[in-house]
Amino acid sequence: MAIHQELSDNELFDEVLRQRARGEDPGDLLGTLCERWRRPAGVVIQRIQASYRVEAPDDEPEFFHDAVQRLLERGLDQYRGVSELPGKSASPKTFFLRIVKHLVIDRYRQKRELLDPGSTEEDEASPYASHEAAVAIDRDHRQASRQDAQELYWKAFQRLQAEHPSEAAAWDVYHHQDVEDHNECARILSITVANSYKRISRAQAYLRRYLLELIEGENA
Amino acid sequence: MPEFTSTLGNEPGNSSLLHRMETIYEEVVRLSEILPRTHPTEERPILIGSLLENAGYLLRRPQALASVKKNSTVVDKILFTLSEEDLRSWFENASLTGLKATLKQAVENAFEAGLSEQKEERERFVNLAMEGLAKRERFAGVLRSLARWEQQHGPLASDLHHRHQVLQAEINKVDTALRSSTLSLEFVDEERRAERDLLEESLREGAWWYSATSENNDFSAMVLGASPTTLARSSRVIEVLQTTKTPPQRHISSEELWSFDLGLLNEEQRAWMHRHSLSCKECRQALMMLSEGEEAIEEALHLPEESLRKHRKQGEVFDHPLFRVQLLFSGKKHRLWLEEKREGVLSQASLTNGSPLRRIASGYELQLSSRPQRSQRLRVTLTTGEEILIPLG
Repeated sequence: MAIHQELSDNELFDEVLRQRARGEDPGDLLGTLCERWRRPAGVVIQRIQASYRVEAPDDEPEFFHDAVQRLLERGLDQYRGVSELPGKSASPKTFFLRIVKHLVIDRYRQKRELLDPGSTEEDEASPYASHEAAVAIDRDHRQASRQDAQELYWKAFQRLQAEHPSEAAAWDVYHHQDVEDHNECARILSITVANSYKRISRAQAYLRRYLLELIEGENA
Repeated sequence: MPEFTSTLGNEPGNSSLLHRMETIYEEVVRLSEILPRTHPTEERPILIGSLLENAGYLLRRPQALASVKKNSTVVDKILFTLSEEDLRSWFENASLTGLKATLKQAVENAFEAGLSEQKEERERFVNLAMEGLAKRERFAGVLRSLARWEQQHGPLASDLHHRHQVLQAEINKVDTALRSSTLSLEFVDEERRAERDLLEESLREGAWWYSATSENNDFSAMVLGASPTTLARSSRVIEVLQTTKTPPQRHISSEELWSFDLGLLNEEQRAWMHRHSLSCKECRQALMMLSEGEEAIEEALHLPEESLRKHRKQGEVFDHPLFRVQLLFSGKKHRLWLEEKREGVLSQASLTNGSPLRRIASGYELQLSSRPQRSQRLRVTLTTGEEILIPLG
């Protein structure tokens, strides 16, 4: 351990990668290395928290811990040591701090989704903003049923992606990416326009089938 | 179960179904003639299986058999000639391998038949679907033959009875697993009804592969885009199906955000993100956060160590070379978190009032309803045996 303290970040990180390549557990070395980055990570976490207008200092240790986990589970395989962006540093430390950044953004996005499912700018400008209780209850009910329908929809779409990836890709471009034009969809996917029509039509049929099966499965 | 040389065809139309009855009857007679001349080799269990399957097929359709002027007593007599040893040899080779996959594929083919625009294409998928379903019917036929054999000979020997029960249980398992995903069979209802109507009436309901949902034809209409308002049974179905007309907005995923940040997205993907962020406040904010975070990274990389130390150490109670104690506050609860810097360096942790901390992946934790009193201490035991007392106040 004492020898490791003498090593630079890059040397220590290289040793982590070597251990991993040999099939050894680099947990200890990585722990030592990440400890050096704890305070810089704090700077990143606090800045994003401030931008989200969140005052939650207690989240910081947990975010740091989860970022180390993410680096261990996914990041080590993705680290290439070369920045894809001109001018951006690609040192292991920068790479780790970028993981921290994304983890914190992901967490606050998830929290917002939980607090305000399906929120869009259209909703915010909704004319239904009545204070009457009955209206509020009705709105809650509609929101809950819309959320339920959307959850089923995304499950069905995941199944479509797994079982019919070509149809899912076309559906994603056409609907989720708001292309909604078969010529453009065909161009993006490098397929014929006729094929675009066919894939979208098949995707919709499959999605409807999966949705009805999901409902049937709940009732079984 | 050996792969039988099946004579169960799938030609549509009643006349061909009746013709099939004749063909299968002749096959049963043929098998009964060649079996006595066949030595108990590997081939014999296959022939026995084929006989059980085909005889069962006829016995499950007594009226159809009579309509082609064939007598079920002939089939009974043929089954009677099978010995217990014959059945044993068949059971030893019996297997349900592939049945579930075959039935799943039959459902897929039925659905594809429903989507087919060309007549020939539809026929091809219908035939494939019906062939798959016929495999389930063969097992039903075998079970029927075994039941008839028991009526003639008495109950099966205990080892065969056990194998029979195991086989039945496995079939039930396959049936249960598939029940909720058979809606698509509605696309081959015409062909399934023709098969179902040949069955003895009391058997029809149990033959789900030919009967389930076959009188309830709104699934196919809803899948193919008929207005669910006139067909669906509940407002929930209407709302759920509506999502395929106006799909919910898809937000920029974590993976896309990551790839975008590393410059790994292509032009189309970046263009979509741009378009989407114009109308989605949440994703627009996430993209802005990437820039904010990048600035913070630059700042953190260039701050001298002294400045970094000044950044707050919120919640930190105690910092040891091997572990760290933190008292976190969230909502109305406090969480005491004993974080290991290296996995497995701690062996025990409790408060001096006796409350133990719970082992978690990263160390130990304890949820507290209020902040610990000043007199409270945390007792930490290292795996080396060393014990450390830490004041929490």
